[in-house]
Amino acid sequence: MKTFTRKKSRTFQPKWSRVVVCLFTMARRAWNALNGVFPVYKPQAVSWTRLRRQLEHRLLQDLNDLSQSTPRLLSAAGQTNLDTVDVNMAAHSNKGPDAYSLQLTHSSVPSFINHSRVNGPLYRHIKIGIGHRLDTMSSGVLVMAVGNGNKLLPEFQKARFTRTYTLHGRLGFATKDFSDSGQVIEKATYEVHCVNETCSALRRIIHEIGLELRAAASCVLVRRTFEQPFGVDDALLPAQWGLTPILNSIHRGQPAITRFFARLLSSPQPMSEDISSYSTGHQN
Amino acid sequence: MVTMAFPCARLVVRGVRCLFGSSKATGGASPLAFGVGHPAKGRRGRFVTTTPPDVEVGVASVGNPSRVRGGEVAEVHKDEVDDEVDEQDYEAEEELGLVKTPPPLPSTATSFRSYVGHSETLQKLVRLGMDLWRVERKIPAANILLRLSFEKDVQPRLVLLQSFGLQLDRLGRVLTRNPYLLNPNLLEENLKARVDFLLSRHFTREMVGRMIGAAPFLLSLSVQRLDNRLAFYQNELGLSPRQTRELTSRLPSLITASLAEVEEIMKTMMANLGFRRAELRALVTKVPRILLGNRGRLIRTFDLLHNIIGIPHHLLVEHPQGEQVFRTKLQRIRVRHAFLKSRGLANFDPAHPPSVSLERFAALPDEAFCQEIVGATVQEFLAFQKTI
Repeated sequence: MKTFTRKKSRTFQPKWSRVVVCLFTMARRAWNALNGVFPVYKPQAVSWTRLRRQLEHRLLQDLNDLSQSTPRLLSAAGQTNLDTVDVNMAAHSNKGPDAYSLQLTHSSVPSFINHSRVNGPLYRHIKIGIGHRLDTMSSGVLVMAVGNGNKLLPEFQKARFTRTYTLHGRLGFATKDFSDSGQVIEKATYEVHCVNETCSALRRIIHEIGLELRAAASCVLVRRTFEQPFGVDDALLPAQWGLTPILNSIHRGQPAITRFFARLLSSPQPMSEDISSYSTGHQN
Repeated sequence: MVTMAFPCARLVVRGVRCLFGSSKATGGASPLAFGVGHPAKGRRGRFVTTTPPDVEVGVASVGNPSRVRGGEVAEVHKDEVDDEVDEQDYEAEEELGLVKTPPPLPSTATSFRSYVGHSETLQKLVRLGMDLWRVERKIPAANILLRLSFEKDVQPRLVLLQSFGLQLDRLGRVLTRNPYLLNPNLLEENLKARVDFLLSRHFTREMVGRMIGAAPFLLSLSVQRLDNRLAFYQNELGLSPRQTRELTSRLPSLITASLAEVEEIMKTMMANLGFRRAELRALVTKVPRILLGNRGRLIRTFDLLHNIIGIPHHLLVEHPQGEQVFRTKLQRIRVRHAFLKSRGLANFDPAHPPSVSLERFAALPDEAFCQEIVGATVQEFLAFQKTI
């Protein structure tokens, strides 16, 4: 009688156990791949804390769905379950009597220690970092980081990347007949490229433009359209805040970030220290 | 030697009340039917499983204080000769390699993981669909579960719950949310009295079963409190008994919710949002969940719908199912309204067609909303969202 080989015993493992292992590794792989920087599109009237919470929640939910899509069937901890002995006579009967072998299979049994109803969700905490912030009433491209990407965020800050904003202003609340319903006589859009700015400082620009024109002006919307190296097209909308789009986004953005940092290191440009250096271009 | 797999030792805990009988009484079938917990004795977030004085314990770690993690709680008494002899025998056998010592059960733990492999009761509860990891957060409840014997405590209670009309597929969820239903201190007579009370108020058996399934804490309320709560909705909203029944059977968690919060929502809707009592009644009859929501969110949603989009009160109340919008996400309403407005379609008044149905506006998924209401593609909708 032939003794069993390690290789042969592996080939006799039931197929379903491979599927289970596959799903585990998928969740694990996804978790390991969650390292990097990705842009999201922040809607107006949502604070960045709330946005971050939503992102964290959705990522954890997707990871747990991936890991719990089948019951966890693992051999119980501390028990080597070798009591199942399969004699696979039928499989070898066509190879003659010499091929008969006693197969020892390590069978996987449902373990209550690893049961999802005992353990709860596998993934409970994930740390998401945030780049240059946007206040609640602004919208636009917001850089988020997860995993190792969090270490990149200070580098982003040090690099002083220019950001591009579109400011929507309502200019000149001139009333025709002194009635209290003011009629808007001009709507204007300004594009601002700047560093080290805050949203309220940008609103102030609109106010100052109004003063220059001897009129009143107010800012309706501050929208960030570009933060290097991400544009509006790359940013993920709330409907896309899930594991797969985020992983894809991290993957897509990787070369651009590497390239950008490499260029920055090779030719360091003097960057201005304060907010006063912005250039405005008027597009009506 | 004892009948159990582990040799016996005796752990005594001072000041712990034995709420439930000994493992001898349960036949010792489950090695975990012995513990008596005292959450106050353990550290926060961990429950203690030790034994009442008259209970024998299957813990092999007597001579090894490091394994008894609640060392300051558990105190070892080995003053009884029988046990000592047993132990000596066992040690001798162990030295000869006749028996293999299994890893001892910890006397305290932070998770059911430590015990579930050794307890048939816990395993059966898991098979019933109970999420033990959720019960862990409720330390007193966790300690109650550890002391249960499936045959003696759990099984009769399950039969009882089933006789109340509770569907079997809801059982796991109900027990997860309210593990105290398995507490042997909760008397069957009381549970029966509560169900009988509901039946006397002309709730049908099916209704009661569904209500327990949807509001697991229903049976934890005394008859007096149940009566008070039904009367509250009847009086505050001016409902008939039949309407009260319909309302509470549709959303049973109204009965178990905090009445103070519900009252605050009602007051907000009448005083701040300007709904009349009859309007409130109509609204609540259609969307009872509105009473259980967050007050701030309710105000923000109303502000958006009424002051910004411009939907009048009567439309919110009378338009068939139009008030579904109260249940959708604020951001969804905001974005969809902006998209409609950009296309010149933001008219919700059925008196001036063409108008958009509020229900469809709020309930349809993105694809259907774009196709059927706006006549645009999803890509256009996504692109639009990046311009606001």
